Amino acid sequence: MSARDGHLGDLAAALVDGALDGDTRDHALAHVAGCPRCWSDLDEQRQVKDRLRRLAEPDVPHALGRRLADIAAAATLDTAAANPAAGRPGPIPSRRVDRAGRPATGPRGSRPAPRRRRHRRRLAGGVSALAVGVAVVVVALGPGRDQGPAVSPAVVRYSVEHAQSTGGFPGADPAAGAVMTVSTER
Amino acid sequence: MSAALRTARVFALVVGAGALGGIALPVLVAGRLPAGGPALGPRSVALTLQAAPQPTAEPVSAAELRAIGLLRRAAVAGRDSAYSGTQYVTSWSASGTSSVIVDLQHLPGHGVLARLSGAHQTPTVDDPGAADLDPRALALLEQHYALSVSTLLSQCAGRPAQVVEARQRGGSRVAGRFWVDRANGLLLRRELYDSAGRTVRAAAFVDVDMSVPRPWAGPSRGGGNGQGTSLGADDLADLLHNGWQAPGRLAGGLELLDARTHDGVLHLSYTDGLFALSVFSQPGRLDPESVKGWQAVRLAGRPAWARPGLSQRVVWSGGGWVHTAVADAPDSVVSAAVAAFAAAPRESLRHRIGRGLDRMGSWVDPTS
Repeated sequence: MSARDGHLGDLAAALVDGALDGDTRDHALAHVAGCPRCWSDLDEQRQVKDRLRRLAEPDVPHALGRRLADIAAAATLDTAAANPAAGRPGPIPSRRVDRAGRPATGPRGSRPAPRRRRHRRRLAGGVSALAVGVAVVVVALGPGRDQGPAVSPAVVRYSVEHAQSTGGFPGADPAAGAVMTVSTER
Repeated sequence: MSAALRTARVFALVVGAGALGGIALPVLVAGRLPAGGPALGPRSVALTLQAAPQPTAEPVSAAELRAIGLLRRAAVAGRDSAYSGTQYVTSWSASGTSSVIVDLQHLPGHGVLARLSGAHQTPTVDDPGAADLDPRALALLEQHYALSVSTLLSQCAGRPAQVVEARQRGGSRVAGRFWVDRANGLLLRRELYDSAGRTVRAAAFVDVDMSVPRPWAGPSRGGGNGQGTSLGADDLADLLHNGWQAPGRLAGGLELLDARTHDGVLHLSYTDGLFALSVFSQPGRLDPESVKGWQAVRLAGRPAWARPGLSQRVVWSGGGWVHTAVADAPDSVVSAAVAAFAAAPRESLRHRIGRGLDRMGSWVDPTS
């Protein structure tokens, strides 16, 4: 190490910035792997750099974003209320309409004919029954209370199996299985 | 029309609509796609596992062929040459950093012997066959990345090296670099980077000796055993039919390359040729004691538990399943895996209706 006391010192920042060349970088990282003090320094430097990077990105607080979205939604509703036809295509007129464009089934405001009322009741009944059927199935097929036995994943074994199964991938280390095995035995 | 007839028609309409609702919903629910990508039916999974390597989207140039040749050479050298040395491996993730220094010895026909540097532990030997380059993974690397050999001279562990660079196709970002020994082809250093250019994984020899093979100090076979039973497409289709999950592709381009089971756990291996991720799935609910001391995080909008290591390790559960991801990949890839496996697993219509009827039966039968 270049620092006088044998630790990374200022090199930690350069290491995080990617400013060290190959061999120097390798020796620095190898030193860090066995030196808790430099390890801590390096981790701190990396966190600081990450925070600085995040500061550079404009970040709208969640609550503010939601309030702005609510304002926009309210404005849209107001516009729609003032001008129902604004922004969307008009309704397709019925074939049988009076001069004012209303359905020609009777004078404005009058009650629908008894036959239409029956149809509406049947329709309402059918829709209600459909909803009840859906609700019954939701309850019947919803997630059960019993989610199976309590499981403790064998993470160490999984890590080794992962390293072994991916050892032949181009981006992997051919010795990954052995390295993972010794590192998880620590 | 008589009143009785009208009543009968209305009754038929109501009952029919109720039955229609009862049938339509489970069909919709059973056919729902899990979040994070299209669900694969059994047939598409069969295609995924049996497919020959996909051709690259762009014609392979002479420069790419040269880079691929160097990677192949590195794989052969890793398998066929004797070497010993000290290597560091470091990985970075949002949940922390991890690093080890390992003394390695490789002897052809015996395997790789590893021991933590300076530690008095029994060395571990790994399967020498693991050093073979997987042609399917290499094909994926060619498909997703443009490979080139850097013209810059470089050194690693004091040895001249050629550098292979992998750039995302359609972009200029370097996602990985490999330093290959100019003299004998051994892979001396490799680094993987995330989308912001940060190193997420680095491994390199700080010293390496390829002149005189040391006498073999093994074997004492370590964790190389018991990788389970490899699954064919039909086996996997059966598992999917019974509610297990196995997306053929994860967001970010990682594809399902291998599936195996071991002690009731399904192990799925994903890669894009450069980054690798395994998902281990098992039925049940997560025992909170097993993640004590882990970092509670939210990934893809779901609670999960993470632990740094040479590979990232993340555990999450839901819908009667516990999943564990082990990844040599950026955080975004791990989040994509959580998203793909977070949705409720697809269960066959027959199973769902049967389970629903059982539950309804239990309501009227107090003894059940």
